[in-house]
Amino acid sequence: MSDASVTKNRTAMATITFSPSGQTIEVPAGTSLLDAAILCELDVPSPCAGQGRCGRCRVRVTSGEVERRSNAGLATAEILGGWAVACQTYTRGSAEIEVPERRRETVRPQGHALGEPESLPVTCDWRQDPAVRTFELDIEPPSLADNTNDFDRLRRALAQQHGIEEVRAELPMFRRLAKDLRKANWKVSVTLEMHDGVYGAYLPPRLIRIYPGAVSHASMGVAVDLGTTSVVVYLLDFATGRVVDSASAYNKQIACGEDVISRIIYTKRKRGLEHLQNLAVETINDLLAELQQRNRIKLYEIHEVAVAGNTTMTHLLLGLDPQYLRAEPYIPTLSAAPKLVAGELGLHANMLARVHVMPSVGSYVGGDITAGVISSGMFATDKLTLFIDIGTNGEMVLGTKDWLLSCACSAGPAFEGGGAGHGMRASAGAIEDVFIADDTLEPTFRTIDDAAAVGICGSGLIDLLGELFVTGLVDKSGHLDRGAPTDRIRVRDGVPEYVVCWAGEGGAEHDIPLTESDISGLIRAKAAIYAGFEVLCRSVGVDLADVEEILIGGAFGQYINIEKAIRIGLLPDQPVERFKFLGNTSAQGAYAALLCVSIRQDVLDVAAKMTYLELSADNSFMDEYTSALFLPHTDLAKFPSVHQTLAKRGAGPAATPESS
Amino acid sequence: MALTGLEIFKLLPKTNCKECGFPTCLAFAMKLSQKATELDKCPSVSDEAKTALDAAATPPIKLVAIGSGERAFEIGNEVVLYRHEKTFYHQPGLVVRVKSDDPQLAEVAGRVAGYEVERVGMTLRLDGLAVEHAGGDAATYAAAVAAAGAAAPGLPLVLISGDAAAIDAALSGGAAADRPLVHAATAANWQAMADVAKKHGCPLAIRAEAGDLAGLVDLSENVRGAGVEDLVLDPGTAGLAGDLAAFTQLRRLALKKGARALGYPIVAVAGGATWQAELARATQAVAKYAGVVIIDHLEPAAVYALLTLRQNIYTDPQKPIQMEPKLYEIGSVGADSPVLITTNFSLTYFSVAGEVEGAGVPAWLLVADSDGQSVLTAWAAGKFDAEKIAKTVKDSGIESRISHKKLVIPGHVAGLSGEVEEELPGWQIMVGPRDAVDIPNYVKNVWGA
Repeated sequence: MSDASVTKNRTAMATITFSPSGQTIEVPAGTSLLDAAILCELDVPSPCAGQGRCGRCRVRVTSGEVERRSNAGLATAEILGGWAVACQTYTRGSAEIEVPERRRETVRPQGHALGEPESLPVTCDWRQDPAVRTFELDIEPPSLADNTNDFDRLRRALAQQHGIEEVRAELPMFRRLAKDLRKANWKVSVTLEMHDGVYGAYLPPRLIRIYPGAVSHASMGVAVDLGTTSVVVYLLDFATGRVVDSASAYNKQIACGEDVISRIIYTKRKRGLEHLQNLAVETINDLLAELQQRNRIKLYEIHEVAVAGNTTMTHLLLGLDPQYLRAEPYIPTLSAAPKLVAGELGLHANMLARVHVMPSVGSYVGGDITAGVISSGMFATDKLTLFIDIGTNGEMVLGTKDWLLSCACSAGPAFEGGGAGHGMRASAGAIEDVFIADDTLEPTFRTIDDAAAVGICGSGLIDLLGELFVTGLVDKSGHLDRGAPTDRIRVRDGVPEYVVCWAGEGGAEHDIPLTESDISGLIRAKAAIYAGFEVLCRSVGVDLADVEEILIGGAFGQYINIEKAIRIGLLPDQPVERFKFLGNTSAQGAYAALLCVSIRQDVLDVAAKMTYLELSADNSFMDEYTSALFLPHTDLAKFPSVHQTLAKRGAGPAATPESS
Repeated sequence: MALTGLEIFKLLPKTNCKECGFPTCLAFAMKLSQKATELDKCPSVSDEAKTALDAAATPPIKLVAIGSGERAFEIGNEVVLYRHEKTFYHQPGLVVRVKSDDPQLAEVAGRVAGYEVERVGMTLRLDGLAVEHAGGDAATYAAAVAAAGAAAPGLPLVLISGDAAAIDAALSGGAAADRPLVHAATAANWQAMADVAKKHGCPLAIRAEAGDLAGLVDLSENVRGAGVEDLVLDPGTAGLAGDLAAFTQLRRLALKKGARALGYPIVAVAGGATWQAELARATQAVAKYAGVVIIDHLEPAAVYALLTLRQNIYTDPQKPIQMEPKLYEIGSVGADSPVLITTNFSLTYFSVAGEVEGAGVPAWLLVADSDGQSVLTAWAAGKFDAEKIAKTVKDSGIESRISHKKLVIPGHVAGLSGEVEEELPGWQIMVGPRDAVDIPNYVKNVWGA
């Protein structure tokens, strides 16, 4: 029997010392090394959230005794060398643990600009109907003869000087009102939230800020795209309606799991939910601090916030227990968040600033998609439109202004560079654009920032697979042609692979291959997405070819080469003119809601109108998925342009697999 | 022809009022198009929409009842070609044919009625007796039918004769009350047969020659025109290839092409010279689309095989068979017997219980409620986690019945051992084997050690 059967003495404590940081912590014996490291706020990667599946949280035990429940993914030599899987290794007594240094990845700057107010999706007259306004007031000081209270004096001035009959305020504002008015000698500027969203009954304008003298401060809003992987914050100026700056960073929750499922599992730990909520807020606050510094504004000048995120991210930001999202029948706590102010969430904006959270539709179709439908304008069109947001989850919406049908299919991290041996996120050194010559079978490629090649990012993987396929190096079931006249195809550990970049080529430190198992992972991911399209169309009885517009949103979407995505069967084989890239639709939707009061109602309407199709409810998805597990598809008739390309190049369907 | 979800949606009020129990009108429309809900659930549907939808809502294959009383059976109302698309709803009736002049007619009738086998806790039975008119006049046939009815009271009958007068006599003699299936109206006799079936309110089989489906359409239109509503189709094929082609085409035409004239269940007259040849045809008919299968031999080996096949095909694969989640005692358990835990998918239970029993070591088997999912599936769906395991242990009351505090969890969820230990203070969590087949070795060697 293994160590697991040894009964532990639970009262014993263990002192754990981490190197190279030198931190020491005392924990009860039986605590996992991962938990101890997290308590020390050490950066140990844990993509699977401590389930013992990924083996990425390796640390080295340099002295002391530990209990290993699993050595997943470690070679015998590594175990002998002291390496251990932190989440599966438990403290017994004092020990010294070495935490390997982690290679830092930088975030690719979000180069695209957000839409300007002129290009907002619908007729939204934000100048006529602004969300936030600031007014100058000259309030009559009180006297024994006029003993009206402070707030009523302010109200009276607002009505007389600006025609605003009603105003209200909350306790934190009242607490400072007396002093603020007197310090300013009764000449103040007041910032009002003109419309209190659209939630229920009409409420009069709300006082969110007061400062002495004339209108002199900025009035800013913030639109947040709270993604599972990266978070982007856009700063907008209510005076001009324009985005003045943006900042992005990886979601700090990544340390607690790379995908939403792992994070949901993480919340089952003691204080796990609280920890994730804090990390989400911290990520946003760090970006706000960056924007504040760069743009010389004050955080309290941020008067309104809109956040769009998937359902899990929304739950985590609000501190709602997400575990029922994951278990059948997959039910979220809420669609639209209650009224919130920044102070309640701990966001570093004006503490009274309203926070709008984009409502979600189902467990796997969240506020990011609602926002996307808004910013894409599909909620107001007669054209049959397909909107897709490809990331870890491929979410898609089909419909017109009358109806909307959405679904989510899990593509896994393949298109974000995960899963593949040399896959990486889109950061410097990632191969993102590949071409393979027909005659020499030699690749040429480009890397992000023209840095030395390090790995292959999602769009690079699609490009590479598409090229391998049309040059006949990969057959339709994803097998490499081992007999091809190129030394780039080789077999390592029994797995065939194609080396797209040799060590030394353009400064690369090591060979960068794409293996057959990477390819099969990619095929599964693209099959899941394509199957989603087919199921959406079929379930309402329309043909994929009838779709008039295909709108691609999401941070990843903008880098896809459509032609190559069609080639591998990721996107439907439609004329290129039907596709349109929309950029970060999640943030754009949040931005539109921030600026246009009328859009806030549209957002709620869209969320209420959208029908969420649960793909696991029947077998149609599985059938479509299985048919799509080929390059580009079992049914080549669905991909006429690919068929033509193959015929022209003389490769492809005729070529039979020589290896299997 | 069935309407698509979108076509139905256009007829709905589009208020998204949620009163039908679905979140949106589109969701309701999609369910309607799959015939998984009723239009009546919409509180504000217009009359115009109702008419349009009612027409579209008629099932593509009509439901037909044969017999009356307890043993009556229903066939038809199928909606898919392949079981994996959804499920098959109405299992075919298995009917044994005897000739009206067979001296053993009453004895066979009694055996058919009394035939019964049990399989995985369910009782399987034959569904009816077919009395074939073998010469003699109408009165003789009527007497034979009456004798069969008396020998097998309540057993549904199929009356086989080309002579409408003989059928009329048998039905008038009392058989009509039991709603037998009349077999069969043909191009030659359809008018008289239709009149008899209508007069007695009985379902009527229509029979074409040698798979002539166009002829079957004509017949269907004729007898429906004559007022008979409950039809059963007999394409008149003989042999495996002919049956398969005709039955498959009938099902496709009804489901995919909306051929109303052919929207009825099928009867397979599978009877043959030997029971083996007959079994082959009957087997195919059970798998492919028959609503009634008529055989000639009451051969136990063949009948049991057919009943088993039918049970397997007509069990909904989407609803896993579940065990009651509770504490099971395997062997004469004592305070020192091992405690193992698993999930309540029936196959999981039977595999584990079987191996534990085979090991010869008495053991407590705790079965957790995982909605009928196997260990790994339940784990992945969050239905077999540390919390669930701890709750199962606590609720079972096992603690007071044993002298140790050791729990063996399935090897596939070894990763849970730490969490279970936290949830069950004082318990020692042991990781058992991944596969049930290794349990005997485990309980004999590891547990005891």
